[in-house]
Amino acid sequence: MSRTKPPILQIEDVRLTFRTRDTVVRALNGASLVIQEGEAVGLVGESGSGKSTLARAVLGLNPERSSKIEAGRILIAGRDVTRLSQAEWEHERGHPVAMVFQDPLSFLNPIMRIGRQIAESIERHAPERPVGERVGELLELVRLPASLSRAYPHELSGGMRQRALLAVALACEPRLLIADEPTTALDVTTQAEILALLRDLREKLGMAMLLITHDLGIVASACERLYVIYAGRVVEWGRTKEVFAEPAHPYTVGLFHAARADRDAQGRFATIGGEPPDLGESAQGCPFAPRCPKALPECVRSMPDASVLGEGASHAVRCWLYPQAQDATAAADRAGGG
Amino acid sequence: MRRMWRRFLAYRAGVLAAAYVLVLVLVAAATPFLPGPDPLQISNDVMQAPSLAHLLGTDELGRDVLSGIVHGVAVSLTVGFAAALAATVIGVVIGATAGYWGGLFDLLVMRIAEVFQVVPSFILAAVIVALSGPGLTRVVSVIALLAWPQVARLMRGEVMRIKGLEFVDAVRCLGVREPVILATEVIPNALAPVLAAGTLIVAQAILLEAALSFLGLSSADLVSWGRMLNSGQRFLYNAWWLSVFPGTAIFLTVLAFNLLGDAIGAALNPRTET
Amino acid sequence: MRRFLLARLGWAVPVILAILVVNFLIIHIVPGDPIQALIGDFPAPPGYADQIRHEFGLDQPVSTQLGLYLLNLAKGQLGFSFANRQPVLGLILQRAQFTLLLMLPALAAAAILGIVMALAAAPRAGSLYDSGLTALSLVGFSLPIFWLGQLLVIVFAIKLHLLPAQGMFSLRERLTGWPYVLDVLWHLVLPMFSVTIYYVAIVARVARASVLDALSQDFVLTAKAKGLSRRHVLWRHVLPNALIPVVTVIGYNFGYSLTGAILVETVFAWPGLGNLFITSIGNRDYPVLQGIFLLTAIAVVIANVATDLIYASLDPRVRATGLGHA
Repeated sequence: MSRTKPPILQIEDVRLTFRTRDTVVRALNGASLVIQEGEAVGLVGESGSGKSTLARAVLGLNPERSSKIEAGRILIAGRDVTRLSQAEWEHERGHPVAMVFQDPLSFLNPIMRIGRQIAESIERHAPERPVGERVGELLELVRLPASLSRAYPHELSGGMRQRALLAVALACEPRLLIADEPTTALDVTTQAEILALLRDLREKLGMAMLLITHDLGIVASACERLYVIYAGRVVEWGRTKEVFAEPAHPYTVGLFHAARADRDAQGRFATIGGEPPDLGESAQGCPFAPRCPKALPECVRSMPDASVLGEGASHAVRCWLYPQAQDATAAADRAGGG
Repeated sequence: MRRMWRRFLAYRAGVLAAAYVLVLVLVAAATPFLPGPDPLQISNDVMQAPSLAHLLGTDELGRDVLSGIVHGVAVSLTVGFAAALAATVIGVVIGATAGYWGGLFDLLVMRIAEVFQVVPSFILAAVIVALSGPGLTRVVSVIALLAWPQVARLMRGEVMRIKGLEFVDAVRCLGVREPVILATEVIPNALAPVLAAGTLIVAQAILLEAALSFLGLSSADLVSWGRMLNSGQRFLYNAWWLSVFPGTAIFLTVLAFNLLGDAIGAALNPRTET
Repeated sequence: MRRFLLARLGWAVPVILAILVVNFLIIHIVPGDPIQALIGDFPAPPGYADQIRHEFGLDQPVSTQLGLYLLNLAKGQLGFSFANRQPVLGLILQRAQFTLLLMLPALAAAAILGIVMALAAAPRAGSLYDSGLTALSLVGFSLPIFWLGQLLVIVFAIKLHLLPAQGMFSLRERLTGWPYVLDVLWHLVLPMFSVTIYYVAIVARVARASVLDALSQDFVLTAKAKGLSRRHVLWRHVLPNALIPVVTVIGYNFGYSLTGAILVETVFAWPGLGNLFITSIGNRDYPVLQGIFLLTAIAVVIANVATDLIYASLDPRVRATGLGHA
């Protein structure tokens, strides 16, 4: 808290529910996360863990009528955006936070030329620049030929589409880029290209990045710190090196096993047993307890506060297996501070 | 089955429509025994506005409008059900055959179906009836001829989907002959959407018959709603009841079958919510 | 684009041929002598029947007859209407203008109205307004259009004396220039309104579904994430995508609306094809009836191909694959 510049993104214990006529889904149950200017952070979890909901909440993109932030705060560059109306959101989106999405084909307008889709961002956020010229610059920046500005999305390959979508986001001149599974729809070679491009862009533009993925390998190669999210709760966070060296939460450990495709004694691949919990009921204890190989009696009763591991309070976990810090709340506050 | 029934009941408009159709069927069945004047009985009460003696008024020959509407139920339902039944049977047989065996027959049949769907069907029906002469059987045949492609296309799609499913392969492995598989395994599983489509064809057929009669393409000695509108057209200025009431009958009946078709479709389709 | 056009023409030609064959078969369903179908019941000059019998080879095998029939059609010979004392082709084309005068404005009005209603309803899916729209389109599907016309005449012309009930222009005075045009437009209101209501049902139903579909597409999220205003997203992203299915539905239902116009004309004595159709039924003027079927069917095929071309010009994906016609 001693920094002069506030973090570009600060999410504090956000609880978000989706309501339809007769169902309630508690998608986020206390998600906290901090990203400093220029920092690359990973958010890791299975599908349905709430990671995309969290990302969309940052830009007010969750469905207006059915979703509601029940508690917590979201601060962009120190400014509270938790309770903005949809009309107010129109002035906030794109800058300083922009977003790229998972499936580049469905996220591009199929009947609008690529150039026009980029130009719309420019006209909105940097109207003083000559648009045609700027479109060319941005295409070059994402390593696409300028001639593609006249192409339609279906005429491009998957990797080219993802670059085009990236150009649309970069045209907003963001200070934080949220990338929601940006490489999931791509083949391995193209994945590597896009990740390399993202790294270069960050360096060149000095922009922070929140990379959302279920793939720990991608985090290792692209992020300085990471958060692990399970059932709408952030359960572990720390520097990438620390977490990779000593994953603390049994869920994180499970993710690593699944990623390395470890085999158990019978030669079967070790995946995490059981199913992610039904988010309809408000869970009292740790949501991972039913699947956890090391669950303790207290795990089903309540969710522990953060336990700090290692030095400098950079690595923390919310799990009863670890001793609770004396000043747990302070630890949780510091946790994201890096 | 019970879930389907519950979904159908949840579709309230559909239940109401079903009740209305049931009443119509009862009226049609009881037509010969109904009290009241013969709808073709000419009287001296010419062009009477609705009154206690004639609840819905009388026409230019003194015939009772209410009686005409009641007797018209049988005509409309007969045409609707007969045409829809014929179209459905033809469509199921042709569509299932084309979908199951494919090949040249499939290509040919689907091209023919396409032509029938492109052509303005009412005009073709009117031309055929005008040239060949009126008569209920002819009207029914023409409507069936024009409507079967809807069912055939639907059936073909369903059969093509179902024949690839695992349980059909399982039956085939038992050594059951292909036509038997088609008749006992594939077609019964494809009938749900056909039932909904068939109900909608009843609505189309009733509307089409009414339009043909309205143009005068029906025999004058048969009481039908469209025919009543045809004579009503000549007296719009002095006898509004001659068009308002028979038209209401057509509208409500067609609406009921449309609602019923939609409700059946929704009840049988597990993907739709209620 | 050229390949796409050729593919659509490759579809249209056999369909038109099939329509010609259907028309030929119709001649033979008349009870008795097929010559009746070619001349009609109106008294024809002596010797004409024999001339036609020879021209169409009615004393020869069916295959020859079909050949001769197609040959005659190719020369534009649709027969002669003795009731109207003129060739069928000219007669139909002349009347078709008036039908188009009724139909095209009605179509345009229905398209605009349907889309506006769908746009207003779609973001409120499930609301009372939205279910009202669904109910309205169901009602539109179930209304006998000629009865709707009669109701409008009774209410607006006879009871309220607001609008003319019949015809295309006033018979009391001879108008020219602008007053004449206004007079025709005045007479157009009720019949056009009937066709519009009928047609709005189809447009609104499809438009509602396609607006809902477009609203839930992922690219809408991208557009929002860019910071575009709600209005901009709706007009530049949602609407253009939603319009594509609407345009195709309007085009593919050309025949449906033609039928509607023909039935409405008989109620309003509008002097178009519908009126010709019903008088020809009365006169047993068979060549005219067949001619009307033939030309409207061909017009529908042309409208289908035109729709495909418009579709392709709106959607770059179709141009590439050459797909059309679901």
